[in-house]
Amino acid sequence: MLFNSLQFALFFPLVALLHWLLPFRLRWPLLLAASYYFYMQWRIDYALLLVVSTVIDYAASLGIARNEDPAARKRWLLLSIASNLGILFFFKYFNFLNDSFRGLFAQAGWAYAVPDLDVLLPMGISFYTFQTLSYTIDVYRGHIQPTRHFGRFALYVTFFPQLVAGPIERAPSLLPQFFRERSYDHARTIAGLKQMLWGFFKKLVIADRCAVVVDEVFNHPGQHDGASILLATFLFALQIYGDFSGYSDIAIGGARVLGYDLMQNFRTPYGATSISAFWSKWHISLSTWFRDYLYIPLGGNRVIRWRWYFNLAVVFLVSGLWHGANWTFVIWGALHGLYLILALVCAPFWKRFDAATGLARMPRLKQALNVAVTFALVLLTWTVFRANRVGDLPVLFKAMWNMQPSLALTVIPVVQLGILSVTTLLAVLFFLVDGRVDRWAKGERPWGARWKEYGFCGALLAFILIFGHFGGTAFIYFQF
Amino acid sequence: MLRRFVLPLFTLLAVAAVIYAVLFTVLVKWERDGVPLVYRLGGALNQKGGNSWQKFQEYDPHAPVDLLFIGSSHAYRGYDPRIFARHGNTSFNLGTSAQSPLNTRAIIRHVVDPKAVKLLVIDVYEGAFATDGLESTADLTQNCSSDAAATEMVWHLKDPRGLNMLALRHLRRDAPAMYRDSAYVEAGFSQRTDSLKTVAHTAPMPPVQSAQRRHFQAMLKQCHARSMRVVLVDHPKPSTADRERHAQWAEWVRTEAEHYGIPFIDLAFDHGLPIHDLHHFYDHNHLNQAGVELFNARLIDELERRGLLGPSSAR
Repeated sequence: MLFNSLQFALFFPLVALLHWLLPFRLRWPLLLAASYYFYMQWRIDYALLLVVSTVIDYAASLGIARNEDPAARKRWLLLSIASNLGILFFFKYFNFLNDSFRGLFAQAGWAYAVPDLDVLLPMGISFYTFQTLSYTIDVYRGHIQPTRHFGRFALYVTFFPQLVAGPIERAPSLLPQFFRERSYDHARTIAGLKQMLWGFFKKLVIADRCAVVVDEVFNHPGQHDGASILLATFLFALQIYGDFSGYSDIAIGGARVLGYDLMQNFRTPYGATSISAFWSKWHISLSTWFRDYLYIPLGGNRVIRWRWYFNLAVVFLVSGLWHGANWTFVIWGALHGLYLILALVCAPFWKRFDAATGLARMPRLKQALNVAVTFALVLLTWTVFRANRVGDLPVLFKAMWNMQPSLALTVIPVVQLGILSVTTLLAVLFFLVDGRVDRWAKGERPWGARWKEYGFCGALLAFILIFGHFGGTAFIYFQF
Repeated sequence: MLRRFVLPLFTLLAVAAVIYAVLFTVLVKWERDGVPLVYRLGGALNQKGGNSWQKFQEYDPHAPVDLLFIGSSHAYRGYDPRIFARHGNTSFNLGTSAQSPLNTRAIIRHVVDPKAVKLLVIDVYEGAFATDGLESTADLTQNCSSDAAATEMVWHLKDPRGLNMLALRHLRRDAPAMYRDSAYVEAGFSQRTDSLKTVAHTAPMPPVQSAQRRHFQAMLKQCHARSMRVVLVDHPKPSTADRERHAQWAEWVRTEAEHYGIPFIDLAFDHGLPIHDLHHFYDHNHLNQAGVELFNARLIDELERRGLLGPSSAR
């Protein structure tokens, strides 16, 4: 079920109403049933994978807790890791690797007869496998005691607001909330609804509008000039942010209405002053997951310098691969890793540069320059991320490199000028106001007066109705 | 409950409605190069005009006709009132682009006067049942003569874009048509004389939508309740079209029609006509005028044979 569907508009209020009408002991069965129903609207049979993940991690966590013997504990942990990553590999990466091997063999002139698997990528598989995996690892590390309540654990795995695209919740934060009785809090409900409204605005008005131009350019890269590609890349930066942070806002707001707190997933990332800061503001639940379960176990930064760089490279390569089974994502991850390593290597040079140019004494200018440079670097990687295939990259970059100073964009005849200008105008407007409005919508900044609140929310509703791009477009991160 | 939810909700909706009305009016009234800005938004806001507008301007619901044709582009490009006139029958064609049962149902209910129509001919092209009705609703909300029909279509469409369509219809009520269809002839018919130069390529059709099936059933029930004489017709298809799929489709249509005693004339493949893919179609599934001549003559014979088209009152 998509958040941006009529079905969800009926489903969610009904679940929320029932949730608060039912006694506490019946709330988890309601939410569990609702979560499975939510998932099964996409595919009934793939809900079985959720059951398998749930059963294995429930059993593995209890197995770990019951055993004193370190070897036995490790065996249970390995069972959980192998089964979760096995499912992920089977459904997400087998055909990708198979295809890559087929290409390699073909280049070498050798026969290769392994057929592809006829499977669909289960929606949100990367999210829920990482979530359940973190639970077993936390139990193994002794950070949490495993729960014996199978139903509530199953709800932790499948909680519908964040099931298919995160935030990837940690058990110590979410699981205890299912055991704690909460009474209805009207202020929280209103705050949650406002955050959902902001999320819908980001998705329907910003992301899906930008998608019209972005899809046209990136699906036919050879037919467009450098300026069009650059514009489409800029719009894609806003599309993916609007899409994913919009989803997160709907998820977090929806959970809030039901009385549960989910973690923040975005903090105005395009205002970051460095790539490292960008990653502390973008898809926070994933970057902290990689930090805690991959980067730190690899040694983090408490190792010799080259090993530190190696750790960063590994984390970002894996992060790229997590996003999708395509070499474009691997290159995207590698680029981010490279940025971070170069930033570390060049840090002394930049310090001297700031002192020599006087930038060190002008913090506001320095900050503005850093934001601009960081955004430009991120933009470059979005070109790679959005490209349909690696073969498109030379075409895209060559066109941008040979860009002429002209406003005669080739995208205009294809996508009407009006749609393009309205979309760009809305996107730029959103870019300028995002940080402030984001904090308002999340309740982090007071409104001051009630009329402002009504005015803002009323304007969001009106904008969604007039400028919203309806038609049930799926969220980008569902495919991951 | 009232103070906590209902009042704030109504206040919010009132504020949103005011902002919506002001913003949308500005976008409709503010023109650049003669085109209101609202059309530059994209997304299901059709301009007023074209053959849909022309035929609803021409159509007088109370003027008696022997036959009224209705359906998708197969209808308005496939049933030529001039040919029926040669045979002595008066007729009009209310077919429009991508018209789905959702739209046809509303037109029959709010535009057609049952007393003025002797026989209602509904074209049952399967492709029209495979759409969600958005394209046709976008067209008809701007061009159909009935407010009630436009509102009913939007209601059944269950898409937020419908609100913009109705707002646009209201705000552009007195505006002239922005374009005309040069292929429009008269009595709702649009004529094409060119022919397909290569083998018809039939693209795979998406599945029929269950909502459209329900609208079709409701439409037949409604016609039955209003004692309208109805006949369902499927017009010739190129030889490359999927016969097996059509057989299943025709079986379903026949079953539904039999329920109300409505005849179904399936001329998709078994028409016995010398229709050729290259000479009698102007694209992958629409007949050109040469094809229409053959098909309409065959249909007249079939209607007469079944006693549905007697000697005309006009003759």
